[in-house]
Amino acid sequence: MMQHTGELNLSDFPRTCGEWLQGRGADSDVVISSRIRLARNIRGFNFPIKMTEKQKAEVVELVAEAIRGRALRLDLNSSSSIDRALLVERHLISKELANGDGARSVIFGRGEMVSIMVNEEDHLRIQCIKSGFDLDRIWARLSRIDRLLERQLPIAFDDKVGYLTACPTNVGTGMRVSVMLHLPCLTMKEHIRKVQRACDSMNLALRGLYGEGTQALGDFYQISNQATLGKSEEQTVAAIKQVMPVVIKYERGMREALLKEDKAFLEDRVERALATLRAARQINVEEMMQHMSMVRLGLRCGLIPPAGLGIHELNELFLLCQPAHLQKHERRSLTPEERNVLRADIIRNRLSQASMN
Amino acid sequence: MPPGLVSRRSAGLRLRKDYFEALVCPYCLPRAVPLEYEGSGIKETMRCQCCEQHKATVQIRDVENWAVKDVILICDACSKLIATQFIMPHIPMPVTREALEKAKEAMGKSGVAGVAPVGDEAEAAPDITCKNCGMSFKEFQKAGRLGCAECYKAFNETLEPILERIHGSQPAQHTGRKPGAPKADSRASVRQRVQTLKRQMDAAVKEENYERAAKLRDEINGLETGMKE
Repeated sequence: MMQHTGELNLSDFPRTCGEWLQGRGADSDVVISSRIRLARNIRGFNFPIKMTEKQKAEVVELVAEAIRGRALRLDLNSSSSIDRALLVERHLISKELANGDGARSVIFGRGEMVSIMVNEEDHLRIQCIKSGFDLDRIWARLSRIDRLLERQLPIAFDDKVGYLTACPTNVGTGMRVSVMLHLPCLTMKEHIRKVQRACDSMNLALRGLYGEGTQALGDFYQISNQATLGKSEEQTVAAIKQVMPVVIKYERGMREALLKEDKAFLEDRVERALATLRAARQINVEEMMQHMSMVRLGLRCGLIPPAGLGIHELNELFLLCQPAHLQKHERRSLTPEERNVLRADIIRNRLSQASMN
Repeated sequence: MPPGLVSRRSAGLRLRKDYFEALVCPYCLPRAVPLEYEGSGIKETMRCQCCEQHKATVQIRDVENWAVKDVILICDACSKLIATQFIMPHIPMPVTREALEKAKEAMGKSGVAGVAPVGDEAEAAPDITCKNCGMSFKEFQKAGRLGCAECYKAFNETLEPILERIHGSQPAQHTGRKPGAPKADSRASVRQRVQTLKRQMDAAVKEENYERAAKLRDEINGLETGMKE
């Protein structure tokens, strides 16, 4: 039965995090999560930019019919801006969809691994996200969902240029594969440019966590494919799979070398970060991420005893301390200053609980 | 800064401070690399290949089929100029020899490197409009998004070289999976059938073939009630 997730379900959100932040899966010491998304449009309708309000509503309804009974659905046109920001922070929808207008919706599974955005830039944006480095299983799952959808909906396709998308940068497979990485030691030692070069030669993009124009916040990076035309889906996945082990090995090697040669330096950075998080009375997202990056590294390198505080707990804390999650948790809107104080309180509480356990 | 372009320094990578801040589109970003003199065979005295006056400060790699095809050395001012030469400011596009030639030409006209020429070329180009959704090519250039599936056909001539360059694939030919046909009884299929029948019914009314129109109307009603159930 289709269910409109109202206030009820979203209020539970701040207490949990999606599968992609569980810190599980292969190579999870370096790879936070892997994601693949497909852009699809329904034949017979203009793309969202040229659609009337009535047509938008019709597409939302058609898609809801097609996926009946399989997932949770949320109508974004009638939801609050905090709810939309909450979904963005959970990587269930894009900023573009959150800030868009007109009839649009998101449909997602309970595990929050699969989500379908309706009437974003394209009619359909289907994504599957999972913790660790596991592109094969993601693609297998996404591929199945894609096949299920096309049994229900006629998809805009051309034999020459493939799946037709609103932006010509997505035409062809409509596929974007991206892997989120935590590369603290490569960043520390300024070796990121070598990673950049490796990506460059493979026609892949290396970006900071939140795309262009952002600092590589908390040493998080994204590697994704650029081209969608001329390469098959399998070839696109293979290209990422080819470059990833190199990057992972590189970061691991750098961690080992640092541990061996300059353990004091590494310990100092990790302990200072932990101390700051334990002591701060107000903290913004950027600072939190920087320190959490070091704590994460400390946990992975065995510099911090994992008693009571694991990667999973750290991830949960990280998500809960994002602006919309904080406000949802408090059930009211907060100024940035209020958020900084609340964030510091929550972190301090959780960390002191962890150390007592 | 033209829309769609970001400065290299804000690109999320911690670069040394003295690195040159080139204006490139996000797509070029990984390709526009600060010059490295050691072991690259590039000498510090090399001049910009565009204006041939200033010292080259940035190299731009033209990538085709996943391999570096060409390396272009340019100076700060010219990289800004080249950035304005993208056919589509919103659509990331790698800088190529072709763009370089265009930039050179534009510079010959304006005479001053670093000053963006007014897009008189774009003005002169005839504006095509997609008959299906009414989007004009100029509108597309502005929005960076196509209006409908038919736009690909309407703008085919201009779009094809763009696609080839964006995706580094020549020819622009899809090689991935294809969608299967939707089930005949899916809601979307029924909806399409209804639309076709409605068109046929209107045509029948125009031809004053009322008998046929009535038959079509009954069929439409049948399908629509089926859909509601």
